[in-house]
Amino acid sequence: MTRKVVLIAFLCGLPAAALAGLTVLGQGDARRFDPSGFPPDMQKRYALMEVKCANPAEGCHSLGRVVEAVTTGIAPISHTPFDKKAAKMYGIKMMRKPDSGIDKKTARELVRLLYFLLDEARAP
Amino acid sequence: MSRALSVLAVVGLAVAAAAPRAHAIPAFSRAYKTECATCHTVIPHRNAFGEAFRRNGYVWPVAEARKPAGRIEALWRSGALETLPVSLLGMHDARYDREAETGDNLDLEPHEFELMAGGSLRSLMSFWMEYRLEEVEDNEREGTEMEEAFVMFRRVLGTPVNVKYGLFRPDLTLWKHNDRLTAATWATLDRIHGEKLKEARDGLEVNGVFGGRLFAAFGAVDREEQDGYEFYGHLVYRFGGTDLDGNEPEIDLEADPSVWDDLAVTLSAYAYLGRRGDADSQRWSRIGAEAEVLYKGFTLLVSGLKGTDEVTSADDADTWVYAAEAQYVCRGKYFALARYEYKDEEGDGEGVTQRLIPALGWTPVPSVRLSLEHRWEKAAPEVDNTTLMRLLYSF
Repeated sequence: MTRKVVLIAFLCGLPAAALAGLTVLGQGDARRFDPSGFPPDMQKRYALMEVKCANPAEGCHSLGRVVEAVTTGIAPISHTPFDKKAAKMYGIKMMRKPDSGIDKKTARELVRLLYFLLDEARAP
Repeated sequence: MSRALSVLAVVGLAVAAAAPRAHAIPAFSRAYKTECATCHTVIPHRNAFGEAFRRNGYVWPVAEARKPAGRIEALWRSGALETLPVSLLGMHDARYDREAETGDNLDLEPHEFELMAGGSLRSLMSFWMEYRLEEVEDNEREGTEMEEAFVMFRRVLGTPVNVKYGLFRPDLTLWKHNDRLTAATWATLDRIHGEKLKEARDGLEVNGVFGGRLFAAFGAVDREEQDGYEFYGHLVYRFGGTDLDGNEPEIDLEADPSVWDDLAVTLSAYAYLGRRGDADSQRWSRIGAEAEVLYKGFTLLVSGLKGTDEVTSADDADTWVYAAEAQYVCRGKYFALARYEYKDEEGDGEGVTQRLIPALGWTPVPSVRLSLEHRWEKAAPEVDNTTLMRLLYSF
């Protein structure tokens, strides 16, 4: 039954995909997670990520990169493993990037979200 | 004439502002599908990660000899690159010299193009080539010339040691000749008694990063028309910040913010032993020390150099050079800097040259930079004031 649903969704070209506990909307760089099923605190952190990491006015990156890293376990630019250690390293890197608008508290919240997303992506 | 310069500046700014927002696609950006900002603050000045990338032989730090995920296996096995590793750098200047002897105050040149190629083959060997198509420096046309062409064998025998061979600029100072945001060259790298440390030489260099925080380079060069060799060495140590391998520092995100979260201090010392003359009989040497403080978008560099040159039928000439530059990059789009340089080429307080160079710049897109710099230069009793606008772009 599940296979039929996935096949029908695929044939209809619906831009949504499910990965364990995560639902991905859109395609390519426009991909993003559907936060509607997240716990309330993670929904707040996801909204924070949309503002701080994917703000086109600030020349940041698309959320598609985050989706790629979380769902494949490989960081899309460096092609290195994207695990919790790497997630923290990226949080620190972005916090230390001048004018990123990400202070230590924000970096902490974003890393917590990444830990949650990684856990959900690998949930059975 | 100052009105003409103002008009030119306004027109230049307007044209740049109206330029289409093209994508920045120089060779490394194409190869790694990443933004210029990954390695540069404002082009061509490299950030800590960009310097780590350069030192690592144009291989993404931490990604090593195994095939990276996402790469085409057949090409990787063949040691072939997936994209043509070539970029072009263009520069167009407009120079206003208030005291121009010829009366031609406004000079709409020079224009320069550089062809650059760089990359790594299976992360084992890297290469770099820079070919200058035309340049004018100090109002002298320097023509077409190979600036650098070298290969570097990486991590020889599994050690952190790299071996560089070919035509290259010796790795001597923290801020490189091709790294500066001004048209003016660093006084420490520029001509002192006819010798320029910034010049490329044929040679062999052994370098490496040890323990993430220490960089060492030692080399021997064989200049044209010389029987003997010249030797140099460079040591760098960094406290705090991104390490010399490009790794971020370990920071406890649960702790309160600390100044050390964003602070990095880098110390550097170098020496060069050269020779000149018909029989390489005249020795010359340069010994220098530098410190760089990096805090968020602010950078302060201070450096000092002592030079000694043997002179025919006279006592050795001692040279002292001091320089400091403060630079601030805002939002990755704007920069402001001020540099002061003091050069005493005779070591006796006579023949002192001082330069004060303030500059402003703006990048409408990361691969395009428009800058305005002023040079106040005093070599008593002469005082020279030059204002220069430069449009630089790379693709």
